[in-house]
Amino acid sequence: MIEVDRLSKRYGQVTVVEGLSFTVPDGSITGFLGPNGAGKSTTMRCLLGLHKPTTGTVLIDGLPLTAQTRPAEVVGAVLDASWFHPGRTGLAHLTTIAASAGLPDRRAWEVLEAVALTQAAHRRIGGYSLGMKQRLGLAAALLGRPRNIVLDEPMNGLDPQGMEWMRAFLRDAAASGHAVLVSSHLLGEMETLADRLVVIDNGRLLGQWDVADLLHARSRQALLRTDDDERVEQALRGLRVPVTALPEGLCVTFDETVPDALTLSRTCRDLDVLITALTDKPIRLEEEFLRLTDRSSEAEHGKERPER
Amino acid sequence: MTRALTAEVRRLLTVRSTGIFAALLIGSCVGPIVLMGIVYDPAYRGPIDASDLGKCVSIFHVLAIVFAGTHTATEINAGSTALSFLTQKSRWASLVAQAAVQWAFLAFAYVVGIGLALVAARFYPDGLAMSPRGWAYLAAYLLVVLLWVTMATALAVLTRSVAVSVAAPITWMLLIEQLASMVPMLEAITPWLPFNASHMLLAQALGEAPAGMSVWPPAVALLVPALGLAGAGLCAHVRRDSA
Repeated sequence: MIEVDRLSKRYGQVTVVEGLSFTVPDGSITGFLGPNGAGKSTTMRCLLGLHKPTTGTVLIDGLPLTAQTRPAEVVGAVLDASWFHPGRTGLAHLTTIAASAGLPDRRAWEVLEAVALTQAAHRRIGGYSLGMKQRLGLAAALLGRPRNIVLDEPMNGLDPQGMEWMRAFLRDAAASGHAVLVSSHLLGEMETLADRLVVIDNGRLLGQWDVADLLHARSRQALLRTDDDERVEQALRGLRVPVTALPEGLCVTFDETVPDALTLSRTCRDLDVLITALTDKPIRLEEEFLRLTDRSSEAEHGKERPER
Repeated sequence: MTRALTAEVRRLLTVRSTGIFAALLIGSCVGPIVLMGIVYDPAYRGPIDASDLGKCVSIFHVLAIVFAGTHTATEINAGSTALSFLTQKSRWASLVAQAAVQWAFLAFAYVVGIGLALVAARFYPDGLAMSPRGWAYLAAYLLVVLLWVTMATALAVLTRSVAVSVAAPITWMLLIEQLASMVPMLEAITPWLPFNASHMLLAQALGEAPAGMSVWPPAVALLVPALGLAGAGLCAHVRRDSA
């Protein structure tokens, strides 16, 4: 489990991360989201002790990483796809890290097998594809059988098969009790992969939620098709219920007057209109992410705007 | 520390450039002696001595700086610092281990190179003449090279740049100090410049220094920048955010 408490990081006068607190629980995949420059990579670097936080603490399994006697067994991380010497072979890269962590050489073979790279073990990394480099990075992170896994944009550059492999791998890791923190720009990917979400912008936390709760809480729209859409639309407008006519039917936003699908179907029954289709119109993570980050940007700009 | 040393040995031995550098370093010691034998000219009659070998070591010296700066900065840029921090408890261990492994590698190349040069010198038409002072000179030269290598390594850690860590010491040695020694107004400080100091130390070892000259001023002039840069490099490695 990773616990971040009031983490701040300043470079000179520039505050990149400010008062960030969140947790990455065991047995789940936590998606770490934020626009470019939001402070995700800096946060991850502070979390791993690669950058020293200006203030705040990060505990991994109850201790700072620097206080762990065998850090490779506590957390495995890939933050940079260029953490390789291109002239070294994949196997040599892993045996070097294994030696650094005090692990036997056979672990290098085991993790190469786990990421399906044994065929390329003796090839120089400079000749690897981006997907192979991602897998090798993951192999390095897994050398110490760490209880926590931290990955920065692991899906970058992967082909569909590679993404499916990575998805299955991370799900298995979470299912076997690991705490997994994954940052990504691929919001659709996070929607299907992550159990929890931590969203930041401008170095500040916008919130942390279970993905299902976040999306269901915002799922306040339904798509309605009837044998007389026009009449239903007029009636709903009369009730001041927000409704939009779309080619595929009526998009109804629930409010106090029509709070749910049941009330909506009753309204149709009262109008003597036959419902032919009624489905939730789920909020996509992308919409929710944009809503959250737009609001944050507006607040930021509002703060900077001089008063008149 | 053992883990860090093992990792650094592997890091060094698993890249092709190490083999190339080993060949260049050893070749720089033995190559010129072989060449001298091939193009032997009776006009320059006389056996090979320590100062002839020293001329070969001056090539070794420049190559050693290139190797140290290139290896250190390239590995840092390839994430070695971050990977060490993620797998080792102490931050300082990885840098100390890297420096130690580099020193050992260069000392090994030096011993092999000089050994082969001595063998080659036996086949030189006028033979080889080594005095006890000659051996001291060769040992002192190795120490001088290792101190300059320490400076190049420290610069690589501080700047994380191959260009700076290689070019700065070489430019200093071969250009700045040479120019400084041509300026009469700088006569008082040139003995305190590290490259000049290195040569004064070597002259002392060979017994060619002016009479009454102490070994300490040049030793201090060389040790202060080497230790200063090494300290700054270690401090930066331990305290600074990793690359």
